Amino acid sequence: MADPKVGEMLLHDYIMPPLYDGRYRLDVSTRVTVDGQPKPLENKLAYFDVDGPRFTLAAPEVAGVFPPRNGHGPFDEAIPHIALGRRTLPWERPFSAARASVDGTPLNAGGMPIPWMALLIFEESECTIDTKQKISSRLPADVVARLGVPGDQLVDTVTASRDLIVDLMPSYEELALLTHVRQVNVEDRELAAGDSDGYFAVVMSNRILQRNSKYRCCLVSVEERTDLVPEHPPAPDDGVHIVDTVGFANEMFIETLADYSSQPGTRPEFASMSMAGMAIGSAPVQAAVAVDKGRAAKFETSLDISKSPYAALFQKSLILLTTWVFECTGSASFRALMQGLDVGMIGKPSKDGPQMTDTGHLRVESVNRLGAPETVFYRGPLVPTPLSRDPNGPYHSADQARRVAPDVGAEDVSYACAFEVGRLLAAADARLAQELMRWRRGAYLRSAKVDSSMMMSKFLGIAEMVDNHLPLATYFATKTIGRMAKGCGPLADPSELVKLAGAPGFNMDLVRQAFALETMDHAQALLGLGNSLLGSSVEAPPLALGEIETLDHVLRDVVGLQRLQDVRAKMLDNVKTQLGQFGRIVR
Amino acid sequence: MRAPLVTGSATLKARLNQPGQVDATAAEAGMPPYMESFLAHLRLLVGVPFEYLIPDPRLLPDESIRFFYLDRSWTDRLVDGSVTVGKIGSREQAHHHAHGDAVSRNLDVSERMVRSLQRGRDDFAKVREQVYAKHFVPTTLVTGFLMRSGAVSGWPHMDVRAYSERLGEPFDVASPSAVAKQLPLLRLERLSPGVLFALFIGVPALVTLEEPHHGVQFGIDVSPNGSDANVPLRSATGQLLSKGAHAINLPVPRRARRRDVIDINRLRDQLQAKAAVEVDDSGHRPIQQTGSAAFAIAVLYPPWRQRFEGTEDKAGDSPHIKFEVMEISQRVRQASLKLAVETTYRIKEA
Repeated sequence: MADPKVGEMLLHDYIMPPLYDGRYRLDVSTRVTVDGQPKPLENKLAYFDVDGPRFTLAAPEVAGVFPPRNGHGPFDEAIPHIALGRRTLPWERPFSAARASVDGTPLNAGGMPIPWMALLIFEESECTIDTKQKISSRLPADVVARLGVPGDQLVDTVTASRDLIVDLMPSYEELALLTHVRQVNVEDRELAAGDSDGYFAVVMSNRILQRNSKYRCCLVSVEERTDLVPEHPPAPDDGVHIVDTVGFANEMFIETLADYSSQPGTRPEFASMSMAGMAIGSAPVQAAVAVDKGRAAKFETSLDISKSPYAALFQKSLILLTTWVFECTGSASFRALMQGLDVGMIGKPSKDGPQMTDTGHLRVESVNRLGAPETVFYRGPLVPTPLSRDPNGPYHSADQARRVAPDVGAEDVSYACAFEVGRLLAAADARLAQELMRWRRGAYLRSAKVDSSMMMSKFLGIAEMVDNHLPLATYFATKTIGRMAKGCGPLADPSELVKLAGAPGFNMDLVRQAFALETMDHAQALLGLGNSLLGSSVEAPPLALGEIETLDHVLRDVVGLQRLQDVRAKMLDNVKTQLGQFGRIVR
Repeated sequence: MRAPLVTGSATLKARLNQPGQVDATAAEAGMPPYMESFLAHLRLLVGVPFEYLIPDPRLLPDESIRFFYLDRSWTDRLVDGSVTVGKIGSREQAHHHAHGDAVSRNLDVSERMVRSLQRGRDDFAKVREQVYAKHFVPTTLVTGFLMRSGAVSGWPHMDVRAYSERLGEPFDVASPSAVAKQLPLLRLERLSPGVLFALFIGVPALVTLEEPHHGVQFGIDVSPNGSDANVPLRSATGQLLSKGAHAINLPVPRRARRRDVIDINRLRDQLQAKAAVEVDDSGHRPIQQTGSAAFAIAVLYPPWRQRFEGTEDKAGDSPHIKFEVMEISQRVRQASLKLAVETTYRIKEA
């Protein structure tokens, strides 16, 4: 089946492991036939264990619990559950070996295999947790024998009264119904955690939580606990219920009576009683009300079961895999609270509410500057109707923001209050004052610069835009010198090049005549003028922008270098050709 | 020594006459990060004492939610007030006056950074870059709600969303169509353990408050007094079945000896019996009870999503006219115009 999409989940009734946990023998025999003669190879025997959590559950196996560990909240509508990161975990052991068939398919309840774990919820006072107990000291001997572990195996246990455990314990089919596998998309952040494969085994409990109680959730192993797990749930409630006290009475109740009764050896008949009493009475003896009123009264007053030496006999222990506590507090669920909310716009009129104007203003008593009491209007920033924004620029004092309501003539101090609150909040923040100063200083420096440059521009008659980000001193210095230099006429000829150019030896025509050269070009080449000597000028090849940006690029530009070298060689060739006949003279 | 070209007093005079000293786009005109962040937070009323928001506690009674528009003039004044700090003379005043508009426009965008900054996801520079890169149209209308409820303290991480349209249930909050309609959240904060404050951009037509998700939950409906427990019937996909806008409830059977233990077997049997006969308004049938997976779907308890929609403004039933005068009087400063308005609406008679 396709994986579920994000936000979706697929639920499976169960996922069976290929093999139960346990010890296995691998018996390999190979039949070989050679030329019609059977020559079997030697049998090989191997042993292996399939191991898994059995007496405790490491923390990483638990993918999540609800209600949260140590959580406080109104969880009274929740069904507590635990999510396990391994999808096959609840079915990795047969609930009871006697109920597992040969091929490993469990003989099951209603078509489903029975998981070996159950989530029991105790009120905090109802159970005791013991760690590192010898299994034989806590579990009945026959259970330990069926589990097949040594009696000194150390386990954590939860112990509660036998009646309570029987009352809470799901039956075979219920165990199966309360355990399922959830498959979510591995990308789903909300549902899948960390490195999960997207599958979780989920074990739910069957207890309805009561408000204002502390609860302890215990994930217990019910492997081989056929003494506690009933095959069928208790009969439905028909109003009156016969209390079965014979079970424990046979064991020790007579002895108890012997201690407290004046007539040893007789057993009182127990009668029916109402359900309500059962729900409250946690001690079985108190619940079992004898017909003989007098004697019953004696029990109830004199017998405190938890302190009697037989208390342990009423208790049953279960192997504890993992446990957490939470507290069911608060009076209502999220939904009930939400549905009960009083909804309205701000300033919703109410009988007990303050008197307000229709604009949402409150009347506030105040004392004005002259010391006279007056009533002013105040309205906070939260208003019941959309308001247009005050377009008037920044205000510089609170008084600027004071208004008078025209219809009643009373003052509206809302915005003045806002101004003062802002001022006080800012003044309370030392760093903000510094930053404000920095902000202003930056602007002042800048405006000083702008002022100066504007003045200089005007003074120097500079029409062009001045980029104020450039160093202004050099800019204006250049401009000033330029202005000073303007109108001075041509400069003198310091290197006397002009005179030199008039010399006959530099006159091309004279040179051509004197040396009887064929063309003017020859004369030009001889004088080294123009570009005739070196040939055409060198054109740089067009550069693709962005390719050559750094010096390293230039150094690695082999093509460009080659082109330059070619041009140089060509130039030298030109020179050689053109100066051929004069080469000796020039040298 | 040469006399300076310009004297200090002449510069000041010139500057006061010409307030636009530094172009608002110049790099030097920008606010320092700390200041911008502080003012943006102020814009969303971060740090403003609660008494100023709700001047009378009776305006926000226990177990109530109050929607509102944010008065932007009020928050502008807050900002004006805080910039006043260190304003000692006409130079500072001229500077503020020149930059007031630019600061205000800047903050219209910067206020979107506040939620990211409050969550501490990124530093200021990065958040600012992200927000400014989106070229938002400056926000004009900001709305929100205040809620005082036990739900705030019990579910501190509830999901708050606002939509510009009413979306019909069921809708997927992550779907593109829903996301497109979702209004940006400017601020979501618990002002005290029991008071939640939220601000949105724009006017929502639908606000949803959703129970925080703790993965998948299972549960039953318990009546407020705790006496009755029901399982509402669900379809095979987990959707709640409804008849006439009411869930179809099945009372939870309990074990005979203990009222607080669900009789799982009988509950399953009764759910199966219902699956054969019940059909809801939209033709869906309850899920067939075939095993533990089907049972789990039947007792699914998805987080509750509370919808607030179509809340009418019932703040005042008096004529609209008065309100307008009030507002105009705040905006109009010229006496003549004010007088004209008053005459128009015949205030003196009232």
